[in-house]
Amino acid sequence: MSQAPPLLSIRRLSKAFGGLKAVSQVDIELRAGEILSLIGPNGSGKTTLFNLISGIYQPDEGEVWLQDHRAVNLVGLRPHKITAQGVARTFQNIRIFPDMTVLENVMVGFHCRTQSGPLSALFKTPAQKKEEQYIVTEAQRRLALFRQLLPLINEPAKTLPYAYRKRLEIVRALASSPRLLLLDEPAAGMNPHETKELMADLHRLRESGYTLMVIEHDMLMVKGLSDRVIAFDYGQKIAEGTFDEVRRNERVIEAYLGKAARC
Amino acid sequence: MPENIYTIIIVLTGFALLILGLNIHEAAPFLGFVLAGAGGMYALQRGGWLLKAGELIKRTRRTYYASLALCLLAYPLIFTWLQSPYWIHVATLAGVYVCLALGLNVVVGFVGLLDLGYVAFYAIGAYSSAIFFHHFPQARWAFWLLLPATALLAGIIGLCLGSSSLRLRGDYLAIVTLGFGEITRIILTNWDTLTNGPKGISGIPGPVIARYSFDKTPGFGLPRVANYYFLIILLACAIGMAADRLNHSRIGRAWMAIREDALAAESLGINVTVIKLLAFAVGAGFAAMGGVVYSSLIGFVDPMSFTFMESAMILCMVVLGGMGSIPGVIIGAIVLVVLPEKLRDFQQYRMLIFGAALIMMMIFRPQGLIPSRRRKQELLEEEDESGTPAFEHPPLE
Repeated sequence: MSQAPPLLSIRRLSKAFGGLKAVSQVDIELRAGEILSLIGPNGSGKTTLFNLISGIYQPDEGEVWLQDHRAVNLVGLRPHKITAQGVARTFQNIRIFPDMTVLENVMVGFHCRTQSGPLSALFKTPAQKKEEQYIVTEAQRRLALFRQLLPLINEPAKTLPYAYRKRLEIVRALASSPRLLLLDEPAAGMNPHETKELMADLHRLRESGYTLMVIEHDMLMVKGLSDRVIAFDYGQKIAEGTFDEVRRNERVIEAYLGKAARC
Repeated sequence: MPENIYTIIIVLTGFALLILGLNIHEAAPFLGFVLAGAGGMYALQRGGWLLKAGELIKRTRRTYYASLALCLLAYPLIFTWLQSPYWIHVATLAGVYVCLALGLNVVVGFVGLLDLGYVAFYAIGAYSSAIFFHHFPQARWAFWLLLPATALLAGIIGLCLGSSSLRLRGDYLAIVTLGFGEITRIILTNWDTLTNGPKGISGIPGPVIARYSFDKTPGFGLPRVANYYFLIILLACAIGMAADRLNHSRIGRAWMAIREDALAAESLGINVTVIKLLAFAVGAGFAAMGGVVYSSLIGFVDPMSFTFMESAMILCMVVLGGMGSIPGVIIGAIVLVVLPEKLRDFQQYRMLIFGAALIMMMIFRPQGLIPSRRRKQELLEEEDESGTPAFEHPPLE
């Protein structure tokens, strides 16, 4: 298992905003099929790291290699190209398309895996019709991952309750057939019951072949979910290992003022 | 079957009311008629009847369109019979504005980019055809080539405008497009050798198709303008259909995604640059086609027909009708062409009443006359009802 090259390898990644080093000299390796959790206090650079991987920010230094059929350096690519390479993400503050229906939200996710252009839409070519059919069918199949969403597929996304919107955002990200899924605080704002459900859902995702990188504050979730945990503080990696290893780490306890140790 | 008959009755009632309204010649009774109509619509809406009518029309789509087409066909005949061909002219003009509003709706309604210089593309279409016919007055058949050619030209200019202002959004984009509209008008005013300056270009001939000249009466006692009436209806239908198909395609979904959240759209793999530019080009192309028909209809173009006031008017049509809603925008364009014509008797109060009407609209129905609604996707297959989720596809093929 460890023989294969890692799916994602981040090397010496750094980003500074003015004098603030949001991410500095970070190295991370991620194997295919793994669930990696990023923890750390607010402002420790976790979301910045996601923004660097997904191309929303450009790093000052460092490389992000994605191992597909061949290794690709994601640094310098525009966000839509990175999605096309197989990295999808969700956002900390949900960014679904509120006025589109649930199904349409997911259909948008297929954009970079389909290709009919304006002319084929104007003339409704057979290829375009077939592709539309494919998108609708596939979007429903992905929505079926979260059974709760299925009866709501024709509702405007803004009418969904909070926890459903979070799930919709995950399904939408899955539509681009990613190899690596970046989830930014998927359980934030969920009650313990919902968190438990979500955890089961994410395990199911891993079983169907996705690799997950999750930012999470809910330590029960981190414990139940992750194969490996990386702790951040002040833009640096301060600990790495299994959940138990990381929670015993002194620097982590220090960063959290002992909060993590109680879990 | 009775459902179809209800649809026909609805369409015919609306059409009869329209004819009746247009035939009220005094302005004061007309205003009363409009207010009564608005009140009636409000009552129907409160009673839930409008919703029911909407559902009915959706179910009997074919009958609905067929009866609409019949009404459009009958319209010029009725006004010829009533001896007021003026209203055929107004309807033709309304058709031109429907094309323009549908084009602007792509940019403003679908993608959410505020464009205040949209009239520039209309001017480009009208002037391209005027300049061509000024040099080749005999080549009247070329009108049919000019339609797509100027659309292409305007589309390319739209790409240029779009690519220069891509990083801007909201107010800043509005200012740049406003400037673009003014630049276009000033160029038209000052490039004497090409555009004949403020005097404009006159004597633009009508098109010819297979020896049939648009400058002759089409028969049945119809006036010359009826030719253009039918032409613009065909064009407006084509543009409306094109806009609808684009709206419900992969491209339309990307447009809407950009409108709702550009960053999320980009993270989902949408090339925001290209998709935005495409909207600019499509909108510009629609406007240019409207411009070509306009120049042949009026037979004369001058820079004063393409002022900022026109851009603002087209934007009003889109906002009044309902941003992003194709039927709404069509109704908006018709209302805003007909209303000022009808209020001509009020002379100096005209713009005041018009402004007041717009403000009232924004207070009581800010989403527009016919708000846009996303079409429901037909369920294509039922998921299996067993307990296990039907999630089994491999992530990568």
